[in-house]
Amino acid sequence: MAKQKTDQKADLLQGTLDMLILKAVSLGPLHGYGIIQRIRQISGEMLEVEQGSLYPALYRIEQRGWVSSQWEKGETGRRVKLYTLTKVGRAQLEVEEASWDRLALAIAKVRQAT
Amino acid sequence: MRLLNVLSARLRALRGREAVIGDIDEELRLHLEMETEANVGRGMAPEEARRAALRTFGNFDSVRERAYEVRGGGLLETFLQDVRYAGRMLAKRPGFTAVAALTLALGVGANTAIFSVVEAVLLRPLPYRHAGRVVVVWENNHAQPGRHNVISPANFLDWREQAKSFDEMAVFLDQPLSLTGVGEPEEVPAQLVTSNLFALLGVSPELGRAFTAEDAKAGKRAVVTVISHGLWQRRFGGAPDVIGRTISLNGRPMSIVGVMPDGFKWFVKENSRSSRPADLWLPMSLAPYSDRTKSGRFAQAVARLAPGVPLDKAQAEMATIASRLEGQYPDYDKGWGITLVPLRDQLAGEIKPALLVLLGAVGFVLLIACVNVANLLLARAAGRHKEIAIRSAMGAGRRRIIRQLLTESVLLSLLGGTLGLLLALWSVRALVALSPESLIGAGEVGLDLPVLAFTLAASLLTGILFGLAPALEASRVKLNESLKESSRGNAGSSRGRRLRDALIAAEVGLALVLLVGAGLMARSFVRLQAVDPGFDAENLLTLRVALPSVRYPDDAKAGAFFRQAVASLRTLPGVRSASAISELPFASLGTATSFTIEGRPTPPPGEHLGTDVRVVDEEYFRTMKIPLLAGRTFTPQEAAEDRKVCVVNQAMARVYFPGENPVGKRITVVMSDNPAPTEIIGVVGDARYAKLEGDLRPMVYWTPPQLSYSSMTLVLRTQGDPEDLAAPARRAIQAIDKDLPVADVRTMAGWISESMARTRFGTLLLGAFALLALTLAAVGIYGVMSHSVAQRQNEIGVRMALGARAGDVLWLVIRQGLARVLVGTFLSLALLLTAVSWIACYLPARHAARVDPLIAMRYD
Repeated sequence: MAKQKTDQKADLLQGTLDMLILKAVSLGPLHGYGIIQRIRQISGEMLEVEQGSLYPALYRIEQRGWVSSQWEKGETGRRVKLYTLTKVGRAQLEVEEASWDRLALAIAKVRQAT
Repeated sequence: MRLLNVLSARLRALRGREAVIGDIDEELRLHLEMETEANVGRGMAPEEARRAALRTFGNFDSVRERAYEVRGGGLLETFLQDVRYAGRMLAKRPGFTAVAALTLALGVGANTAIFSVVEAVLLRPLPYRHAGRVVVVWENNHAQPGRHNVISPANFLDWREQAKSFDEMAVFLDQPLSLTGVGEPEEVPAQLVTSNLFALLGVSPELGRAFTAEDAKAGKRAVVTVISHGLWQRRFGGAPDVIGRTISLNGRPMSIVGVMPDGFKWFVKENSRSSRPADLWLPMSLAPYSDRTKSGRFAQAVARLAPGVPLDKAQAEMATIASRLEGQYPDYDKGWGITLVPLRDQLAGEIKPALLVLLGAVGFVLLIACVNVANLLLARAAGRHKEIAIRSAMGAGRRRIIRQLLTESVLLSLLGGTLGLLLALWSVRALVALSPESLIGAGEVGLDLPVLAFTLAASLLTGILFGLAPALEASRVKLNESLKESSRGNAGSSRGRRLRDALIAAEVGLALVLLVGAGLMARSFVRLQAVDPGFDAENLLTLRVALPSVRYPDDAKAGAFFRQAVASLRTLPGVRSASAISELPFASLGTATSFTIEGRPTPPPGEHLGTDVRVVDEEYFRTMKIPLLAGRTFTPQEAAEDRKVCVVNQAMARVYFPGENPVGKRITVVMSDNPAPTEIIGVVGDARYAKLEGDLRPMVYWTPPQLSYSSMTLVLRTQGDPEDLAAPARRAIQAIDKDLPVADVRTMAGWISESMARTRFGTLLLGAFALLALTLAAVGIYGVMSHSVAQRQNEIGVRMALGARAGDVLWLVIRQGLARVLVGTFLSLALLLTAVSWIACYLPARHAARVDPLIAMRYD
């Protein structure tokens, strides 16, 4: 899923990659490379998505209809494939964020119990 | 939405594996480029930057493969894999595949052939506008419930005046006319129609115009005609300038004003005076028929329901009108009602039940074929345990295995279906050729789109039907056992064997049901054939001559012609006797009317005595060999002059003169305005005129001077083959008048045989299906038994070694097979008995449910 780049970087839990991708494209259409960059950037350089895992995950998400893709002329004039969040994807993102929050809360409670 | 996405992605993937991989490659390369550029931005040398990018990316090929799997490798891909695998499995066992596919081909082919007839007759939309709103209108006599009677145009005028349920009502009447003026004289089926008929049906001529109200007003003086596309092609070679040409119909010149489009046909066979659809139309005026007692009931009528008016409302309105007319014209309309029949029911009417029976029968044949193939598959599944066990050991789930096996059986059934289609192609042609023309019109039945869809659906369904049980059975694998088992000694699970036994029993049962059905049908056919028509039908040749009224304007001239014709025919070598009759047995509808008996009170309105009427010459009874039972037949003088005498049949004597001698009695038969009494001079044996089955009807024979017909059928009794006299007889008629068309030159045996054509055809088909079913069942039993013997070789070997003789083993196997067959026989007999007794209870029960409470109470 994600690999540990340095000791300071956090492990990516199973299933969170989808949420991160959705979150990344929710801020605006991105190509695959851009998604990795944006995840790194918004996580304060903490999260690094493994490049090889990105594309299968991206295609799966696309088939589920959460994002749509299109080849377009990018800023530098070269053709890039841009991914855009769909309506269904936005709803899915909310679902995943909520469940993540519940999990985080639960873990925090467990930790405080010690 | 999501499903659509997935589906379209899969379809895309399927369409172009290359395209998908190209797309992925391009995207991944783009990614690497960007990473490389970023590395260069961080200060690396270009070559170094590229290597670093590849390193961070991981294994490019494996990423690409995983990405492709997500996008491409889905249901459809595994499906294609399954299909390829199934194809290989089928090809590996050509013997099994051929037997199974042929079995299915027989079943599917027979079904496709019958369905193509069902589709043409019962399902195909009728080629009229608003066909769903078109109803045929009949009168019906309350004394004869369920029988449709032709209508009185005078009554029709009142209906049209009063009924509000229809937006159009029309009258039509089939009538053969002789066509001269173009080539050979010919009798063509024609139809008199009110001018609105074509508009009612919503069909316009392809050339020229339809009739106008003016044409209809002219009535019998009308000089215009509309012809069919067929006649236009046949007699005019499709000449574009046919409009305005003049032809002679019954000796009267008529100008062609229109040509109806190809395929247009308007023919209601029930109660029609013709056996064929009309080839030309003449305008008809109803005004001359406004006196109901004079004109009688003789025409057919059709109406189109106004939009939104349901049939039962229209029927209720017509019932009201009918009872109003009963009060208004008690002499004529007392006891008469009106029946509306939807066009589809009318046209399909007689043939529908027969077709449904046949469809049921071929359905059985297909079921048997399914059972056979299921059995084959089950037997084979036993041998495939190992293969399936290996597949499941390698991680295939049960669903996956069932899917694989079903794919195999569906592929098999599609193969069978394709073969079946070829078979149907051939058998439909045979079917149309064998069938009486009145049953299946040539050129109407074919393998069109709905039929192909039916075949496809039948094949798919069959594949799933016969594949499911074996697949479920085979996928129930116990891994350990199957892999441990050696190839010998596996007799199949007892479950599988029981299933196969049940299938055999079912198969035998189905075949037996068909056999019984075919047997019953054959019996009624044989019985029909054994019916004595009341005359000797062998060595009789018949030909019909219709005299045009222009050249034979009065009865005297017509009478003279027929006397001359008969006299001339008698002189032909090979002719024993010749005579003439107004309406030949089994060839056309006859005349029927009411009569009174002198010295008895006139019956109240609506309860007239009824009789058939035929006009014959003095030789008729001798020619037909109808025996004289009492009194005498006509003398030549009586046949030439109006002597007011008649001969009646035995049924007349039995019904109206029980215990009396009718000879010498006087009856008044109503065939004219001022009917005069005639004296009964003789009683002859009953002869069948309309059908071989059913009651014999009373009959009065007259001679031509009392009632003249312009169309008579000449009957010759010949010494040898009647066909030999066809040409000489035709020449003899045309030697008297060369412009006369001679129609229907054929043997009496041919007419009778045609009247039985439907029963014969049905018997033939049902018999063929039963035979097919029996063959398939036998093949099925053979297959299963030989398989079971092969599997029990070990056991049998042991038995033999222990001292069993060949006879014991033989008996062992036969006993087992027979037990299954007997179970099937018993079950199907039980089923048949249940069905028969259900029908036996249902019919009276339905009758009881329909009893009108008022009538039932009046009985007390």
